[in-house]
Amino acid sequence: MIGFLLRSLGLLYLSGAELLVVERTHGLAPDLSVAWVCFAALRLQPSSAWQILLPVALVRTAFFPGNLAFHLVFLLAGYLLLMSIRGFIVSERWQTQMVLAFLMALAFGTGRALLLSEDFLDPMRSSWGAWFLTALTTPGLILLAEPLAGRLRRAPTSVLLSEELPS
Amino acid sequence: MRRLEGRLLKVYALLFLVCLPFALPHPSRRLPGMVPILALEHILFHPSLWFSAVSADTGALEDWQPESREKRALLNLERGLQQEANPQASEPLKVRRAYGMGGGGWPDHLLLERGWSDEDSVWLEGCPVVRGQDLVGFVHVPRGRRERSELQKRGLLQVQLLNHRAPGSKIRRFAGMARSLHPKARKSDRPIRLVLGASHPKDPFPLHSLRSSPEQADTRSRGPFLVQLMESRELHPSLPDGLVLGWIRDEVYAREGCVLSRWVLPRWHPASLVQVELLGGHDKSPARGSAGTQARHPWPAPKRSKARVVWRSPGGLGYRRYLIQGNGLRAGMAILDGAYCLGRIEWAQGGIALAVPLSRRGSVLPMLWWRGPDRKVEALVLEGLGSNRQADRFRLLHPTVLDRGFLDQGLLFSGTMGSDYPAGLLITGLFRRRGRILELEDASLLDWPDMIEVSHTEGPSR
Repeated sequence: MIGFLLRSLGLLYLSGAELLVVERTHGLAPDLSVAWVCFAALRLQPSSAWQILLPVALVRTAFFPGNLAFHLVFLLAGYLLLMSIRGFIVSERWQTQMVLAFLMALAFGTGRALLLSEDFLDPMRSSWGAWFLTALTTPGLILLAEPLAGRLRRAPTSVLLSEELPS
Repeated sequence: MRRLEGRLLKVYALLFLVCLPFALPHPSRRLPGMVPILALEHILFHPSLWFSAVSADTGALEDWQPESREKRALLNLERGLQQEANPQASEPLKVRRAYGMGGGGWPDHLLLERGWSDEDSVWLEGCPVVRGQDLVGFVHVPRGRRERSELQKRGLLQVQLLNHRAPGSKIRRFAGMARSLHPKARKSDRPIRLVLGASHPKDPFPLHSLRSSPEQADTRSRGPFLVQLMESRELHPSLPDGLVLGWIRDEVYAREGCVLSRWVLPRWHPASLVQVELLGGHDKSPARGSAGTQARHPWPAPKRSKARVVWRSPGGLGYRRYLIQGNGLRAGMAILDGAYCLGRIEWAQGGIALAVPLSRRGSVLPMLWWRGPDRKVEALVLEGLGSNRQADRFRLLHPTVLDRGFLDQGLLFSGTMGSDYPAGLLITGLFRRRGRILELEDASLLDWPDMIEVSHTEGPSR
């Protein structure tokens, strides 16, 4: 419980950093929620994923438009989609992660524009540049998130690492 | 373990399906029980709020007075509303708010600001309520003692509107006569006689024609048809004839012109009403003189207290949020800057609140438009469409028919939405209409100052 609260607090301050970037770059900020979904789906077991997805949804409810159900639907849709294709891809490759992150950022931006905005623009004003930046930064953010995850249950990798090989 | 993980995926899929109906139709509607969590998150993110009690530089403002230009604008609004008053009515009353869900999906109740006693209830029950020449509804005195005393304590009078359908009782019916206002229409043309009743909440219009004669009259090419109350001993013996019920709206087969169903759309929208009059009871109601005194000052400036803007959402995006800190903040309060209304409080908890601009996507707002040259006041209902860097955007929901020159000039004022959001607050004089889209272009609306004011009422919110 304490771990969950500390992780939520960490996510809260990371989202604060995202807001600062959004404010300064005007539509060129990477979508951090995409990186978190990729991390939860590609690196964590389902029993640990909610500990990432729920705080992200709560934080976005507080600082961004849309209610909790709206943010949960987006995060869960991305998560379930990635989980269903995880067995068919080499998710450890940064190229794969970049493509997945780009497609997800595109879908999230378009979905927000359709549901929350009238003029067919994302309320966050994210553009092609932002979606490319999300794709570029996601593999790095997943690597950075590993030590932050603490005692969360890791998913077995599709390419077996030396410590995962059966003895 | 693997089986457990597989089952959890099913739980996630189930959660996704459960959230879908809340997320897609109303993505911005706040879910119940979320306010404390949101407040806690903001407190964690803004450590300065931890010391709010110590650092709060807020308090009540007792001596605020509008500037002469603003005073003139309010006076114009006041005169415009007085022009509308029905000369036969006994007393003008301020509307507190509209609520409920009646025919056509419109609110079916009004709360009026008027104290009353048990003795008054004898003549008040069923007393017709009008807005100018339009019949709006009837005063309803609740039978339950608890409900009555609650209304009496708060000094409020309940009105059932024409589109009210009481569960388990007969629908109130009205006899009406419709005449064409088409320029080529003649007085000798045969009118349409109708019997009307409240429609279902899912119906397209608030009033439904139960019988009409002739049934197949062409109301499209010869319209518009205005329906007025007809004398009827059986249906409404005490109501004077000639009161306006609304416009005829027909559903027809496009080719044959065959009328499938006939509806009536009132000229007013419940949410847009700010002042109505009681018809009858002249001898029992307060003297006309005192009512006149009340009408000369219908919109006293609301009490206000100061609040501080602690956080603003990033500028230049398609949404705006303001975290404010102050004393006695409540959801629904109006955010003021002098005589101007900037927005509303969305949620409040423990001295902090999240304020949103009036144009928040999905919000439905009543507004008053003082037309300018002809000094008339028109009631509007608008839906917020969000804002961009240049303007706050709204869609006009009411009125449905816009005449030439509609919203070309004049001033916009707030309508009423409860005691914390009174009517008569200046919105702006800078606006532009494109079809049904209204854009408010006042820069002060887009950039709130660090210190703002909130409309303030003593006691619980009503």
